[in-house]
Amino acid sequence: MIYTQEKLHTSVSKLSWGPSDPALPGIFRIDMEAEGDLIRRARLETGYLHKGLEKSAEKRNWFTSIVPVDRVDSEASLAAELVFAIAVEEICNIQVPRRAQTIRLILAELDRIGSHLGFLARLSIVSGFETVSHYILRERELVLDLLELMTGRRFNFGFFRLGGVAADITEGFIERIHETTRLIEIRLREYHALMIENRAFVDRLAWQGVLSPEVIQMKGVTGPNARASGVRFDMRKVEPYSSYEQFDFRVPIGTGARGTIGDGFDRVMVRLEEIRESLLVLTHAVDAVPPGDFLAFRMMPDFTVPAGEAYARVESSRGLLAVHVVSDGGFHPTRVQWRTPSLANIEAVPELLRGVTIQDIPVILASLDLSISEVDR
Amino acid sequence: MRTQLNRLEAVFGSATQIRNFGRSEKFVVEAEFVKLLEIAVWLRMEEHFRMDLLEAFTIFESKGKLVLSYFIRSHPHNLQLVLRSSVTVPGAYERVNAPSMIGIWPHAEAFETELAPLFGIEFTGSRGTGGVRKVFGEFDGFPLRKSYEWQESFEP
Repeated sequence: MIYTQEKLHTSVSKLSWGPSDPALPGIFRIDMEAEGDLIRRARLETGYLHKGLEKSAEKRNWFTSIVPVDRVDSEASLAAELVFAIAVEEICNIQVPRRAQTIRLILAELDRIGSHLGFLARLSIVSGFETVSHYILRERELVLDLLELMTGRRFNFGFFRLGGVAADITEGFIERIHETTRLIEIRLREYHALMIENRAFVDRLAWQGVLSPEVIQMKGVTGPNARASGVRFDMRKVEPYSSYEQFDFRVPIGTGARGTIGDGFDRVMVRLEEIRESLLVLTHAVDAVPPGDFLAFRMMPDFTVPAGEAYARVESSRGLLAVHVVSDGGFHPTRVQWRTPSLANIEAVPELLRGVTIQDIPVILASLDLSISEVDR
Repeated sequence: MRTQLNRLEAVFGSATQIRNFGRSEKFVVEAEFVKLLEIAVWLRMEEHFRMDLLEAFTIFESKGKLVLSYFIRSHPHNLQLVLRSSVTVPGAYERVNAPSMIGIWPHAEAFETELAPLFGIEFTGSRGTGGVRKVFGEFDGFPLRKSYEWQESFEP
């Protein structure tokens, strides 16, 4: 018997998805015009969870201003703490001890690994591979354990200080790092077998949501999403900070291994490779922590920052994270404005959704690793 | 970089002032507000600059002025620059008109759509794609201005 594809006569329908739906990576709405299940046009609406962090930073003194910084992106908050500290230290001309810089680097890389593992877990759930997510979250717990051992917290750490970090390396931390990095290295091979060698998983992501270099340039997309499209830009290499220049690591880019360059599959591959590179950096960094102080000075609640401004940039797990800090010499910041990677990355979504089917939306969105917390600051 | 900036000064004369950005080695080009768009177009198109990427666009209020800062980069020449201009803050409920940079740097749309309602700025001249809208709700005034009355609590 020969089956022929049924031709459906459909008209253009308007659909609204969200703002609150478990298949979306956060609280936002997608308004679509679809023909059958094919999207012709998509528009996003964000702002539902706007926290007013930038305004509340102006109301806090410098001593407590680190608190809202963490909430920019709770999943990878150490990058925000780091860039804020770098900016204020530049205004105050504070020299950070080398030991503190290396500790910051170690924690930032742990943060990156944790965030990338969270990405892989979320993506495996929406791709229909929930079992894999349990394995990945098991490893992420180990990373959070390490962060807890150092900072006392699993999220929203509040650990970086102006001039260094809040505490020195905890006893047993370095040994646990070696142990955990070895284990995750082994587990990455397991993920490879479960995801990358799995044709069903590859078919779900290859050729999906292709980000072209033109869209990347136009929308200001950065981080692993841009690197997956072949844009080799990583702030840790371009303008090294916090002692990154002392450690050797690769910047993986997309190769179109199973589909085409810049597709969803490349975004997974780049993050898997980045975890591997971060493990390498971690292993070297913990063995190279210089002796000395972990904090340049103790900050008091009446601390003031001289009049001036600074713009600092770091490579967070999601891309280029920058902050512009302005001080008028008083007890409070005049302005703290963030340039978050997801603010730019989400701009590419309407382009990516044009011409795809509705059932592919969750996978494409998950493959971009958007943080709505960063968009709605 | 300083040599290239001399070209800018030669073209625009007293409409621009160049100084260092904070303690960094970056330069700030302070432009007269009426010349802002023209200078931005020049920096984007001029052979020795080709500032093709807007990395960030920030606004802050200081001494009764809204200061607009464009952090721009050039991939071909590996340059970084801050283009800046300021405009007097009007009454607490009055909006300011400023040129939109979307036509020069499309990425400006992400910042302009966010900053417009929060600072009470109307960006004119270019229309974005409208791909991502921001829904912040209603405010009594413009929350990121210094004149905005901060409420410690909100009634649902």
